[in-house]
Amino acid sequence: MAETRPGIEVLEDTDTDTRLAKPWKVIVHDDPINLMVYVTHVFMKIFGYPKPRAERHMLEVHQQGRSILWTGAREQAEVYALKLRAAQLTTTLEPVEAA
Amino acid sequence: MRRHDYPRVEKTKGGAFLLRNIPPLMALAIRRLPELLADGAPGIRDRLVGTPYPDDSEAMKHWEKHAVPELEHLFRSARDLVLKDVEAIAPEPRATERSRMEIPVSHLAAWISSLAAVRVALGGLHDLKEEEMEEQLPAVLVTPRDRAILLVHLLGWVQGLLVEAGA
Repeated sequence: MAETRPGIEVLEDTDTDTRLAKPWKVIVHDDPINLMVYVTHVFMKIFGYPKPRAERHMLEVHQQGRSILWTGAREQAEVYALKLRAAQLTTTLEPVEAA
Repeated sequence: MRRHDYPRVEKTKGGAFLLRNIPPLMALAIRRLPELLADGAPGIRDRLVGTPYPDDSEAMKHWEKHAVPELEHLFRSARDLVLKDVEAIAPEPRATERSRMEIPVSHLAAWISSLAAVRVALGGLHDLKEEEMEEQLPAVLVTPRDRAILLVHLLGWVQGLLVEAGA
């Protein structure tokens, strides 16, 4: 039972949202201009991926039209999107839909 | 062109990158960078204002307010470093029809991203397609589109050399 004191209102019923924020996907789309070697270079620089992983993503972009480069907190996803846009790569952010 | 005549990047004793044996057409493309990277250059700003939220107008507004000014700042900072280096492009001492240009290590990233900016702007402006980029150019370049493709290729060559040099 909650203790009551004069002048202090005790809220018995509080609501705390403990759900985690929805993760976001950083997606890079294919474009006809940027060179494969350049796109690989950008993925290595921005995400710190080793060359084989960066090349895998680059090939996915080239062959399938897009690749999910990273998934996680929205703030960090926006930082990555800014860097990718500064590097002239077509980038979008999408929330991960609940399964 | 003989193999040793190809444009190449060497490291100087001071640690800078020296782009050597630049053929005349490539030099011409490099000398056009100030014009192609100018604030009012066609297509340049279009790329900077794009949003990663094409279907969310609220997020798009937020992005335009906060991220676009940062992108413009990054673009201009990189561009200013590149233009400084372009001014110093000079003939090769032993083959004056060729040129050379020194790029400080600290300018390399600026060069690589500025070249991407120009190439992508030209691509957008002329709506260039992947197939066109892989085709052989005609011997005589008649249309502005042909000339844009050549420029995209020449600047891509420079970009490729610099990416490899910095790897």
